[in-house]
Amino acid sequence: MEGRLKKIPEGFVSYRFAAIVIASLFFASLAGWIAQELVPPDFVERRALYDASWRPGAARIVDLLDLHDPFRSLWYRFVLALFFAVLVACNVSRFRRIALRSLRAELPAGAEELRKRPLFFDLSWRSLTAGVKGAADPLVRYGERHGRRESVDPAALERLFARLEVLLKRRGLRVACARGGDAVRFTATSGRLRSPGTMLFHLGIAVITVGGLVGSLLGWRGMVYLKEGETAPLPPDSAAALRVDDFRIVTAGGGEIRDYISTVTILGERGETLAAGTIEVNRPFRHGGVNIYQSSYTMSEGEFARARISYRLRGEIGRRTAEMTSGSAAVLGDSAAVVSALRFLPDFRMGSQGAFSASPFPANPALEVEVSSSGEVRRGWLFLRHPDFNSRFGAGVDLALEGVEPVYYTGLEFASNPGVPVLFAGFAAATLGLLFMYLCNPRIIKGIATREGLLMAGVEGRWKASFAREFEEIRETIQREFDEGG
Amino acid sequence: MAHADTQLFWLAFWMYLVSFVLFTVFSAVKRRGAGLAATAVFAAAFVCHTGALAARWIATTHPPFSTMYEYAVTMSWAVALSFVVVLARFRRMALGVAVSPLLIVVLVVASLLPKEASKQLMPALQSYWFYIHVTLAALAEGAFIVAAGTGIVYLARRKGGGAKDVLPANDLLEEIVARAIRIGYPLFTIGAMFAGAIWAQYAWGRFWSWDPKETGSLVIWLYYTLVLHENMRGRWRGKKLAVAAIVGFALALLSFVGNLFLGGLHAYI
Repeated sequence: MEGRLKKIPEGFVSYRFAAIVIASLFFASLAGWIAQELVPPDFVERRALYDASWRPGAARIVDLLDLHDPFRSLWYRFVLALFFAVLVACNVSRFRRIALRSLRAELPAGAEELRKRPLFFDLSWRSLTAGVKGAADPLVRYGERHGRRESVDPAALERLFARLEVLLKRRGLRVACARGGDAVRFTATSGRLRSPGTMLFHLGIAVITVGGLVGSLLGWRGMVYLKEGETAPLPPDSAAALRVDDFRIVTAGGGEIRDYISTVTILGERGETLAAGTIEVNRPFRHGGVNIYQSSYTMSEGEFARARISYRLRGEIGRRTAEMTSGSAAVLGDSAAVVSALRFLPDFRMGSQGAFSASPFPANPALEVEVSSSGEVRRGWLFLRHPDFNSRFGAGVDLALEGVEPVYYTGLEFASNPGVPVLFAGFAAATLGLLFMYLCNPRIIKGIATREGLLMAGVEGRWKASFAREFEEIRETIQREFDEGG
Repeated sequence: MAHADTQLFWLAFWMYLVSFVLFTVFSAVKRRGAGLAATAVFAAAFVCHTGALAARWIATTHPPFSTMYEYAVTMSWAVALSFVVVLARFRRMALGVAVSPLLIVVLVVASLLPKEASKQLMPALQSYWFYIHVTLAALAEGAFIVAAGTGIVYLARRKGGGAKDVLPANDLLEEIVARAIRIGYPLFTIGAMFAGAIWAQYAWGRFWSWDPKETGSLVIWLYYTLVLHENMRGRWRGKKLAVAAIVGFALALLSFVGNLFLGGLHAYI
């Protein structure tokens, strides 16, 4: 393992290179984001048109760099692959060091190492135990100034160190120590899980990338629009079929859409029922490794299940209603007038080619009718949202569209993505890693307690200013707690 | 209760504006009284802001995240909350001079958006992942905005230097910027990226669609990943970190208002 790790070039796993790769992916994503907005979605289909209308060469650049679909382009995939490679290499190369560091604390090698730190103090036991009054003692001051410190016996050193250990533990620090040569070398640490957390987070991101790759290579998806009673083969095993038994648009009191619900049955080769259930938005139906999602709905132009019209004939005061189905006719009361439904448009618009539906959704439902009375035939449109518009049909007939029940087609999306479990594992690992990273406050304080005194240094803290404040507080606490002179 | 939320919103808006004026006066005259008054008005505005969100929640019967207006109000509340936390932790009132105008910018954007309340959540939003996703994303953006505000103070202090008495030391300012980013980053990663992806998987059957909003989130995430890496290796410290925090705010704002003209799966108004 060790030998293999050495084969990874140092530059490839350096922070510098990692930052360059992240910056590259950032700029590539930014460029893709901008390209997504600038290049029209129909660029491929209408390439000739854009070639003619844009500046010379612009369409060619878009084509060459795949800017019409930037996130599937070769250059973006290359940067993404590089990001993944660096991520994995960094994790592999740092694994041993991070694992060792989180398992055991490194003890200080010597006093010089600690004295080099910007945060350190070196106090004699005499000055600590004698407290403020004792430290003012001319004998103590003179001796300390000239490097002559009073020594405590080994048993007293043990007692003093035990008190120090309690103080450090009270601040949430874990103390590891080694005794030898009339001295105790110790390291007080906290938040040691931060480094494994960082690694777990990076590993999680790598796993998510793998999950995405697996999904894009092995996953598939498809979309069908079916109305009640219709069936469609269930991919990939086309021997099974999906039948839509019912599709409902559930509305709230104010008419807002609350849910779309499809009731479906999975049929076997001989038409036997294999499974049945409902599909709602956010609640997919799963069968044989295929997820079926309630994705959309549509309604067909011209087709409707039932329409209700109200009418008033000449000389009548009140209105009466009549119901029609697609292609049927209704006799208006006891008159000779007959109204026939010709065409239904869910989102009526008038264009140069005549009436058309701007969308498959009921934004402006309109019904084309033909009224024949006494040999006179009149055609016109009735609008659900504008009942008074275009309502007179000669022959003394006044019509209004009261309601129309379109034929809905439920939009179901089939998808199979074997990368999803991998992705979810990556999300879990990265989340756990983040929690370790951000809930742990890593601090390392190292020290050496000798028979003469105590040398302590703040080696590592996440926040420079806060750590300096905390180290100062520790020093003050030690001085206060060891003060025997009152 | 029908319009209580918008009335409280406007009350909070004007009070934040007053607190900004008072924070500016405090930075200029360096009188503790002005600072305390600014903080008190800010706290009162925060209470009204919280009340506006609560009233909206009661009126719509769902957490106020479903429209762009509601999200903007929630996000600005997260900014105010982050600032309150920073204020409680570091006791540096002068930071308000930069954080409150950024908060007002978000509130101005909110004030321009349609404010109609709907009791019914659209079907795609009826998922607990929606609440996790939006709450964490709003809190993260709140933290990023506080980082940007502190970054502005850092740059102003370096240039001006006249307001030495009330502004915190550079070390502390840098620590606040770094801390705010490091609080925002995991919230953004878990909330905006992971929770969003899991929810998308349940709702649409694909965890990632390269929708403009998703791409925008990825860009923001990569940006802050870069900032953290550069900060960790000792390059983006001090002034550079302050500038990076401000650029991050600009990216977050672009991604937020991008909804209005970029469309896509996140085009809720």
